[in-house]
Amino acid sequence: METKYNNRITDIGADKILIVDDDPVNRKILGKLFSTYYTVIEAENGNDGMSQILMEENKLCAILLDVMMPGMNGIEVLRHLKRMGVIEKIPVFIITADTSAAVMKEAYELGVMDFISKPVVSYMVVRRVLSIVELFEARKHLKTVVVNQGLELLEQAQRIIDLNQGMIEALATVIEFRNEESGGHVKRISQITRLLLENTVFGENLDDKEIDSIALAAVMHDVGKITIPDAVLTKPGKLTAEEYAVMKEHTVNGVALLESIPQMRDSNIYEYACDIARHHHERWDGGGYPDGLKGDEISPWAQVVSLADVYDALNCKRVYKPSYPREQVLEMIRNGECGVFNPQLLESFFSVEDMIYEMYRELPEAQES
Amino acid sequence: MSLFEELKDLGVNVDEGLERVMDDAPLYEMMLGMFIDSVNGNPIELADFDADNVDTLTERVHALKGLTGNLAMTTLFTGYVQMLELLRGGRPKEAGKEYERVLPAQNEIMDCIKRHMST
Repeated sequence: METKYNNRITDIGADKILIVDDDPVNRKILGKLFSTYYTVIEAENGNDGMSQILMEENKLCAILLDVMMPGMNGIEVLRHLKRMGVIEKIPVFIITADTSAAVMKEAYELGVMDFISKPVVSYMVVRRVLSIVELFEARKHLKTVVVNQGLELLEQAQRIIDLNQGMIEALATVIEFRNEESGGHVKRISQITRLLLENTVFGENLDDKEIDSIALAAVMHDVGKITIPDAVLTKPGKLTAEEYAVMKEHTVNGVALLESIPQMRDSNIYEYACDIARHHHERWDGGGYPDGLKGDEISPWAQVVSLADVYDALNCKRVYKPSYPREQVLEMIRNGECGVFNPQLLESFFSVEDMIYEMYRELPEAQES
Repeated sequence: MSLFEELKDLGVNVDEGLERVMDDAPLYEMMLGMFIDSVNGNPIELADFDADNVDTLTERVHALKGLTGNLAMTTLFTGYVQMLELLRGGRPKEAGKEYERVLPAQNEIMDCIKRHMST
């Protein structure tokens, strides 16, 4: 499955050992000692060694490095390897006859693994190199396993998030179908909400995760409509006062429904979803329902969803009304014919309405509604 | 007498040298050949120890020290270690005396190797 976490690390088995020494006899001896275990490659000076390291970095399991060489000496090679970060990935052994305290100190500070004196004692050099290479390879393998397991967990978490989101959208869509709407309404509300929060001052104090949560919570703004009888919910004409009272209950019923889902209570969208479901019919002047909240008593996200709901309703055909042309929709919102909104919200809305309109043009279901 | 036996008589610790290459006798013999090439390719003259600049000489002595150590030519190795210390300590004349002392043993070992390799 293609996912955004599809960048697993491959554990390439490193099986080459590089001997950098200007003395061909030394190279022969070390080559002989290690040819049983690894593919041996040789370099006769520091520059040649650096070229080999650049070409074979992923295949090298160890570097055996002489100190005194013409051209680039062993310490200079080490400094380069340190800068390149190679020394953390490949164990480097200094094989030298000259172990002055200053050279040893610098080499160890640069990250060298071990000092081996020349002339070498075969069983000692082999054991010391093999042990450290084994440790390095095991550590590399463990790191690969841990990183890949982490990526797998992230993939699983993403799948669960996607599944949750899909189920929430499915639930909201079922309600829409009862309402004889196309199924795209809740998605459009969610998209308008996101667009307003991402592009206007209404989202300036929210981070990306909070905006994601609010956009998903917006999908459930009308979840309480599932409790409204068909006779009221799908009535083509004007509602009577009693019917309107029943219809208004979808706000508080929505919250009751959300509260009855234990898993929902643990979700990071829960607080937003309850607030939006209850308050998306409040009005800036206090004339809305169910609580008659006024001004900033209404949360910014509930205000945004409220306006998005009105905009979509006017743009799309409903059982009780036709769809209106764009200019008329904007005029109706501006004149307060469909509710009283926060003036700052209206200003923000009109500043991004072109973007919302473009979004509608790209959504076939919006044009069919 | 075989090459290895003769070298032992000349003070070369052949067993240690062979152990270093995991008892690969042909490889050890090949390395003896490389020793001849190295000495001939980077000749050291007694006059070199009287020169003002001994950098090249020091490099050659360093190389031969490594080579004789690897081949377990103990007498020569000890001599080259001594020479290198003297050269690095700014005492080239004393290093020259040490070279004079080592040279006959080195020539004997080289003659022995050459003789066996030509047959």
